Amino acid sequence: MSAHFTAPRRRSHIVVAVALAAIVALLGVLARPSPPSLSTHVTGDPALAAAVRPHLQGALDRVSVVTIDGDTVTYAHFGANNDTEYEIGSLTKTVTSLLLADAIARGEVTADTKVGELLPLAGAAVADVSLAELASHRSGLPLVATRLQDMVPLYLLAVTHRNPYIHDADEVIGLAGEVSLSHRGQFAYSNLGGALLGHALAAASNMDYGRLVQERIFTPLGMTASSIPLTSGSLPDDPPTGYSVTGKAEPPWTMNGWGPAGGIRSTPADVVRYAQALLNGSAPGMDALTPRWESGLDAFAPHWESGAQKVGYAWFTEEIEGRMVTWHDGGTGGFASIIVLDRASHRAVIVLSNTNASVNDAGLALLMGE
Amino acid sequence: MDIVTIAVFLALVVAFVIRSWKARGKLAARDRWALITSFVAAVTGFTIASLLINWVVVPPAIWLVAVGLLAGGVIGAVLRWPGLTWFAGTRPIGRTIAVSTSLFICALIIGVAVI
Repeated sequence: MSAHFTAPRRRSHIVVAVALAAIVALLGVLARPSPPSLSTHVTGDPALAAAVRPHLQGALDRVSVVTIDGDTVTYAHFGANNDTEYEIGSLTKTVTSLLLADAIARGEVTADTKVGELLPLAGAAVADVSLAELASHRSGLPLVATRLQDMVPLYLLAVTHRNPYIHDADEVIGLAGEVSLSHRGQFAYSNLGGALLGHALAAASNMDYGRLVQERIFTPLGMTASSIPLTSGSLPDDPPTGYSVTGKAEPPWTMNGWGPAGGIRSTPADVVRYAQALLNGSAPGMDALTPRWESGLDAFAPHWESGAQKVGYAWFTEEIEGRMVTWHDGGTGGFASIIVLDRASHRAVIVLSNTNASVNDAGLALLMGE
Repeated sequence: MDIVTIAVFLALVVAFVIRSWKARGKLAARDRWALITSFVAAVTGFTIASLLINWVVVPPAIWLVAVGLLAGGVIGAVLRWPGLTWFAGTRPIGRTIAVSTSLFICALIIGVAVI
């Protein structure tokens, strides 16, 4: 009797097993990793596209490359065009540094103005730090934070491919007020310092940082497509997004209170306007580019040997094969960027990508004529 | 880093397959909770792999192989299910604590990744 029941029950178990396995397999296939590959839709100058291609490595999707040689501007795009929007990340710090030099020229602040004179940091160690120290990463501030309770959420957000820079301006100032300074006077790259500098300059000008950038940089330079959205609510419905260095899709990074350190979104056409103004000296706050302090940042090693490595207000300068190269790069969760300038010969290279794989080698190689 | 993560990922999936299909021996799942725990651990392996492995350089075929293994493990688990009790052995409190701890850790990892 049991044998009569066992066979059908066994069959039904097999059916259930196969059905569940099929569901699991389907879900697994749907969730499979799908890293991007460099777009094959190439526009612009074919020679430039061919020249840069060997230098583009790792996760790639959309890339824009621009060379400026005097008045000649040459573009090459992979899956993009002159108006494609990119997160330019820490290139924003160069804008903030121009604002510092411009504010000094306007007499609003001095290089030695203490950040505590402009922001509510009474009693905090950072209050005694000067604006020049913030701009040159010599403030002793950490990259973002030092306390475990601040670091753990930031790390978890980053490792799970979410935007970790969610604090508003008051919270960023609060974070800065809690940290202790370490090796002040020595170069140590700090997003916290960059953000704090922007808010200090905004306070000095009685504007918020977004309006300050708009009025003193974007508008004078004609950067009409550039913006600095604070939160995801400030973005359009379908903002451009990118991929991590491991090929994972990343959400847009709006950097809220961290905006002065990395929150600008821009286009190749606008970044060209910016670079041209830097080359011809018409940008506000050009003194920011003056190399002032040792950085020890050998950013292009081992591929390139550099001599003196200095930092100005955010801008880095390295002597490479006898040429003074002024540069800054940027990165967010899903984007990477670099501007490389040879000011003496009025040349510049811009590389913007919607993945976080570094484009630094590509930028420098093109500038050096490789 | 990728090699270690791939090894952990595949080990969790293969462990589930072995525990599902082996009816006897040290590696066999002794009860239903052992099957459930092993399955959830394998799913956690997929979560970790998704987040941490650089799929630009690691062939995504590894993921698909693991999916095939997981599906095979599910078949074994379902077929063994009727013949297993919820708790085997004589120390149900110890088993309860071990199972709860395993599931909690897996849920924590998946939760942090997904939520």
